[in-house]
Amino acid sequence: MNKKTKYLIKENKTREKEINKENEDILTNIILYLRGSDLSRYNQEMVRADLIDMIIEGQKRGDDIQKVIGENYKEICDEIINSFPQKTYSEKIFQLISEIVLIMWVIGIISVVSDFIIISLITREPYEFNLTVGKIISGILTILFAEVYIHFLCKQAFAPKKISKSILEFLFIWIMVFIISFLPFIFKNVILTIPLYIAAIIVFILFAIERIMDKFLS
Amino acid sequence: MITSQMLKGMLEGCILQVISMEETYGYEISRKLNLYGFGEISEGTIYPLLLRLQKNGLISSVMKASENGPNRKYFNLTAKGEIELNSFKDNCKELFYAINQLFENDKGGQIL
Repeated sequence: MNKKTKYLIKENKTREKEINKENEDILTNIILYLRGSDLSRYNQEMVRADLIDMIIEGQKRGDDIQKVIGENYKEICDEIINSFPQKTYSEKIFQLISEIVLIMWVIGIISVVSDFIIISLITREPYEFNLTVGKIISGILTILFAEVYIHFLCKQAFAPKKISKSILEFLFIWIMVFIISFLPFIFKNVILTIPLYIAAIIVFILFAIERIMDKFLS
Repeated sequence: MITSQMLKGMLEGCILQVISMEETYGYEISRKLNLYGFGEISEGTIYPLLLRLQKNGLISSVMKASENGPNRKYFNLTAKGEIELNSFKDNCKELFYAINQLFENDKGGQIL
């Protein structure tokens, strides 16, 4: 993420505090919907800044967000998204790869740190990282689940909130977390063994790649 | 009542006309359109159009402090915007002429 985007995010967070709870809830949904769009992070924050200005000024006049933004939030969001240049196919692929690398380094840190703790406190074996079939399946499932669930959340930003739907969502998330967490304990066949510090270096390289890709995307 | 479907395609040109009158900002544009009889057009409806007009270089913007609120984005017409506005006005004249002709014909008039 470049400096301009980081500055905008910080400024938006500060200024959002002036928005009242009711308006803020709707603004959050709008931003969530925009997050799932093709807009670059900088453009998302630029739009967010403009909307915050509009809402705060509306509040001062005594107008709620519905009067300021209009009643059909989704339609207005789509209009906003369409007023920016759309991402090309290669840009979309680039973004997807960046997201996958992000998830990989997060899983990597968790695996390396947990292996380090287990070796240090329990097994007292050499500091090695075992890449098992279970860890690979679990990693692939995490990537798929994260991509699909985030996309679903963004697209459902304006859908009416139902308790039954929330319970189903909650159950689904925990079932997925359970499956992902336990797969490495079921499929223990080792594919590759490397020193733990090499695994840590690989995780750091993945982190650096993701950061560079993110800068390009911004 | 002017429906949003009827307004589509016309609103960008009308916004250009409002901006051509004087430097203005989103809420003021929506208020002026309302005063001219366009009905309630929210700032949120205008916002994507302003983004598009700016992206196409037809308007420019500048942030200015407001009296008792956050900074406002004020819009001005660019030279390209003026050309576009004149073209929009000519097209509107043609369209209104055609519609008038059609309505006259409905009353039993002749197509010229």
